[in-house]
Amino acid sequence: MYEKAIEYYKKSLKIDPKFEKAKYNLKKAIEKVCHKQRD
Amino acid sequence: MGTCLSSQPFYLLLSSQGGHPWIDFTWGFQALIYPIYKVSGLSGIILFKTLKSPYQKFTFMLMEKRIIKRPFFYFEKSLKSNPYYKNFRLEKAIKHFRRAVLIAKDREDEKKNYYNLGNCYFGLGCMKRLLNIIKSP
Repeated sequence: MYEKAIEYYKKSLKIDPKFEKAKYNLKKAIEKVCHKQRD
Repeated sequence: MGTCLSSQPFYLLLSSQGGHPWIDFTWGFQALIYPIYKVSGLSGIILFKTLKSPYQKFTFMLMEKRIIKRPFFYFEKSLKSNPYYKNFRLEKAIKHFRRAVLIAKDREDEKKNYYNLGNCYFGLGCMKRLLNIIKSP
């Protein structure tokens, strides 16, 4: 689910790379995925 | 004045037409609990309506107030069986946002819809992770 979220955040960032909310959420989603891999 | 409410006794007002004792009891029980739920908040009313039997409702109420942990009938087989999930309805939101992406007027609208879709999937991920935590005591 987090991977899909990352995909969609990236799509929104492709349209507008200065979209800060999407940037922040993308960072969080990537952190979650990394955390899952660590577990 | 034959149909006036005050002319009937209290137990006849609450009881069903059959006069079944268990049903009468549960009707009375609901009449007592429902106003408490109405005062406590909107989320309470939604959960109250989605659950079926009065016993289930009462136990769920206790669970919400952290008086008991989990009743014996409370199985978490899937994500959809979780009553908290019913309030979010993230899958429905995803469906609507996907349609919105297709119909989007501007580029900005599309961007916002993609962002919202991402948020929905993020929320689903959180819910699944939480369920895994709950399932493994």
